[in-house]
Amino acid sequence: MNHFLRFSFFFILAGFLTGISSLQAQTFTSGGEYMNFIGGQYKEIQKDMLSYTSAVAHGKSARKVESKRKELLQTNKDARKKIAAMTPYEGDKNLRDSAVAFLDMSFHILNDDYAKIVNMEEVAEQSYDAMEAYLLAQDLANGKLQKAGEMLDLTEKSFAASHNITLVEGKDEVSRKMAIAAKVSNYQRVLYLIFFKSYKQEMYLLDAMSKKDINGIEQNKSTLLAYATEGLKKLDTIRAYNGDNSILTSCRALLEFYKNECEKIPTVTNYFIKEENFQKVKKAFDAKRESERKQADVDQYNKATNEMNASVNEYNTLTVQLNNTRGKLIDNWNKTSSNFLDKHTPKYK
Amino acid sequence: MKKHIISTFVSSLLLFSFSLAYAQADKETLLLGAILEKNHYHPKPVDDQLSKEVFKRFLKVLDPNSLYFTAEELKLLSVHERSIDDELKGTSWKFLPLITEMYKQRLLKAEKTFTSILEKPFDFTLNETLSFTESDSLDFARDEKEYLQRWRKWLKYKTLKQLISLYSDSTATDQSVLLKEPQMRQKVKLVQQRTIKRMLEHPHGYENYVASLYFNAITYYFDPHSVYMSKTDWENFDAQLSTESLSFGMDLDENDAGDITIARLVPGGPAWKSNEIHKGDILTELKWEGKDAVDLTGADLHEVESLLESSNSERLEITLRLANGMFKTVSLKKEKIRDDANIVKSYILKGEKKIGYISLPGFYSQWENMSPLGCSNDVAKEIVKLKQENIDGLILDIRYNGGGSLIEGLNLAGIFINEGPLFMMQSSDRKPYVMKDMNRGTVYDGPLILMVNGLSASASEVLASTLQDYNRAVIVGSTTYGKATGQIVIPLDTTMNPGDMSDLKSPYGVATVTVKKLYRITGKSAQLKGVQPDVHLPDIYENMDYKEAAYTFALPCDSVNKKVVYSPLSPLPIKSLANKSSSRIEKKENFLLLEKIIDSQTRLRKDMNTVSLNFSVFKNKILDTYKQWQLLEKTGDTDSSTFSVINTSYDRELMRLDDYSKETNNVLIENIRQDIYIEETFQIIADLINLTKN
Repeated sequence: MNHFLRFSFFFILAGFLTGISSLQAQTFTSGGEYMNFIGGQYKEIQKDMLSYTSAVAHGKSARKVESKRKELLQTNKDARKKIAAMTPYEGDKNLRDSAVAFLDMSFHILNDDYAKIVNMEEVAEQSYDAMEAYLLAQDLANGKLQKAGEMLDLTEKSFAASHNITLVEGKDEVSRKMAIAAKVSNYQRVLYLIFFKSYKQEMYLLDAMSKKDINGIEQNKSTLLAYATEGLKKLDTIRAYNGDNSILTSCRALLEFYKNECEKIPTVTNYFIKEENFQKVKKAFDAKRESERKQADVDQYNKATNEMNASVNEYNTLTVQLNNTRGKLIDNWNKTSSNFLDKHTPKYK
Repeated sequence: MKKHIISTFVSSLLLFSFSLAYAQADKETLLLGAILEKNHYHPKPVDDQLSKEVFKRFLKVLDPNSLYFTAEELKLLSVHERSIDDELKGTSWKFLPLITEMYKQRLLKAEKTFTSILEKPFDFTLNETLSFTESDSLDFARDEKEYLQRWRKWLKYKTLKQLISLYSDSTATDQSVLLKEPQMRQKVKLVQQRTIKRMLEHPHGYENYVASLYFNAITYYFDPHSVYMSKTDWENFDAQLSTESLSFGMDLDENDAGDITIARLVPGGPAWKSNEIHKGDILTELKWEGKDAVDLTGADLHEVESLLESSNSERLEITLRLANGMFKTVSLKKEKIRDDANIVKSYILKGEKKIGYISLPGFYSQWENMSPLGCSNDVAKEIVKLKQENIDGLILDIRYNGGGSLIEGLNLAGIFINEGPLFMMQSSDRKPYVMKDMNRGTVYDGPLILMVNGLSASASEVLASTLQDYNRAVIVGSTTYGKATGQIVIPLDTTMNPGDMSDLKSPYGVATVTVKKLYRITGKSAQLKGVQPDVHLPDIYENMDYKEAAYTFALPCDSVNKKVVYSPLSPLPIKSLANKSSSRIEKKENFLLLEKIIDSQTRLRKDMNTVSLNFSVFKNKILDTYKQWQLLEKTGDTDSSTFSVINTSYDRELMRLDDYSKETNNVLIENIRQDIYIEETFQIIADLINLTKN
């Protein structure tokens, strides 16, 4: 799994940690200290998360990105251990347990281990391929995390109320940067998923083409056309990010290419069918003894050969043209995406 | 003395080869038992019950009309009625050697018996009857007198049937028919002789042939689709399934005189290349290398085709009678040539609407390990061609399609269904698995009719039920076969790789074993019940017991309780279509005639347990139905006025150069034009287009 898809998803998780860790206890009571200790653990996770995000967005090496991810996992693990070791506050263990449950779930998500949270068999049954299953598992895990976050939020409020603590929202540099990084990432994720749906579908189409699988070509073409059209409609509803429409434009260009490609697929299908038919014509012609061949047969065979040659040229020209355009557009999409993240994601460590 | 030594040597050689055959059968029995126990969907205990059932089944297969054996042999064999389970476990090995030898003696005795009986003419004025034995009873003649009596009645019945067939000539009278009694008696003799010879001189060896029947009696107890195949059977079967099969490259036909003639030669095939065989030549004798010649006098088309299929590797000498009356013998060897019967073809039916018609009589990818680009890809190609011709609707004809690769069934459904689960499979672990559409999207999303009949089975039924559950197609025809099980082929030799079965490097055969049950996405099953068509058309075979439900050991019909998420399309106007079709059929002469035949055949079958052997009584009983059949055939020769049949532009191009394609194409077009079911289906799809448009 590429780091981008994983990391863009972390912001769903980051949203909760941002809210919790910015809580400050106004009255410095022992109940407040109790809450602050937990908040302090969240802060450590948040810092590592921002550091990891920054590494991905600003094009650090794969090794460095991976080491940041491992640090983040370790911090999450440590935080969970420390919170789990806390004694209940005045017999109230709800806050501690709720925080532990939340961190358990966040660990599995950070570690891509969705099987611990959702029923992967059901996910597989409802998905078309492994990538779709991964994205669906993320969505389902997100739903569960949302619920766990809401539960944690309620527990905190109830804890604060019963121990006379007033909660106010505080803003520090890490929280502020995290909020921006989440916004950038969420924007990019929306566009990425629109792009990716058609991109992956085109892979199926290209695979079918390489096997001369007419059934696969025709079915995948009709789906690619539907996805590209649907994607373009969605793009019409998305505005530029702080005046930057680079990835929006790049995504639109790709989807328009896919649409255009679908319109040209009949040339490919016809070529394959013609090629097969020509082989049959050739076989029939070759099977005739020379003495049996009439001038009309020779003329017919020559006509079929010329048509076949014309079809080969048309097919070759088209595939070269499609390959070149696709290559340029994908390249452009990759560069634009990297530039976008680099430009808008705050730098940290 | 020298002579004696030689004969002793020959007999000892024979004995040696005889015991070798049994040594292999012994081993194969053990391997077969183990494979069934390990892999079958519902393995049964190997006990006395199994033994009793296999014993009964085996005897019924060897002697279906209780003619060969008598009560005396049954008594000797019955000692082993409860020991077959021991043979499957390897603790005993007596039954098969005993019965094989005994059966041989009985076949030889039968040959003498019927030859002698058929020397004398039959008296068809006598009021005697022939009773058929029950399918599950072992009712053999009690003594020699009854044995002879049974044979005499049986041969008289066979001769009677031959005589009645002479009424196909409309000028035939009772007198002219009865005058042919000696010839018909002679024909019966030849057929009976060939039946015995086919067994005793079986191309794979008599002992192997009987052993195959024994193994299949064992597999049958588990279910009707678990089957044993010898190494040679498997190799021939595997070759036949290929689109490029081994063949002599000649199509046969039967002329009015009952002779087997050369109907067509495949260009480039062995027969064509020999330049010695021509259309219209009559086949008189076939002789496989190293075997005795088989005289084809009186042989039917099916028999000759079976003979031609019995080997793929040896040379065959074919003796032909030419148009000038001269005889010629040609020696041929099979080669890989194209087999158009296995290739999907499409046509345009042009009438009130322009309808695409694709016939798919078989799935030529039989096993899941074959090329992924099977018939579904060919169907897709034909649809692309038809779409270029701007069709208004499509008819996919899977009548008589007995199924094949489930993946192919899945791919075929995928052509018409956008995405989602298509059906479920359950293995012996009892966990249902959902099978999904392999490709997202459709190749064709316009009006669709699927034609089915009682012989549409297995993967065909998966296709029909899935399209029905999604409201994607109107299913037209009669209730399908009712086989919702899946099989895999396992080599008996466990050291073989099941993934590569094309080159079986083992002396042992293979077992086709039922390993899964199939369920619709609704959780229900088509097992035994089949798929009920949305629009029913009368079927000549509908009251006959030939479907899955007729088999004693067929697996039961059940359901799975698993919720499957799928999105069916809007319901189709099934009721209106069915009503319109039924009012049309009520006025169609050919369908009215068909209904009459179905009625009279049903009545006829009910009292066919006992038949009269009196010429007049017999004739009166079946001649009516026979004449109705003739009338139906006659009306069937009329072309439909509802549509004309046109080739796609691709096929037109091909046929300009290929005379063979042109010739087979003309036959196929004629068949389509004269098919009353296609005509009615054309009208149903026209209704569907009009109704859905409104």
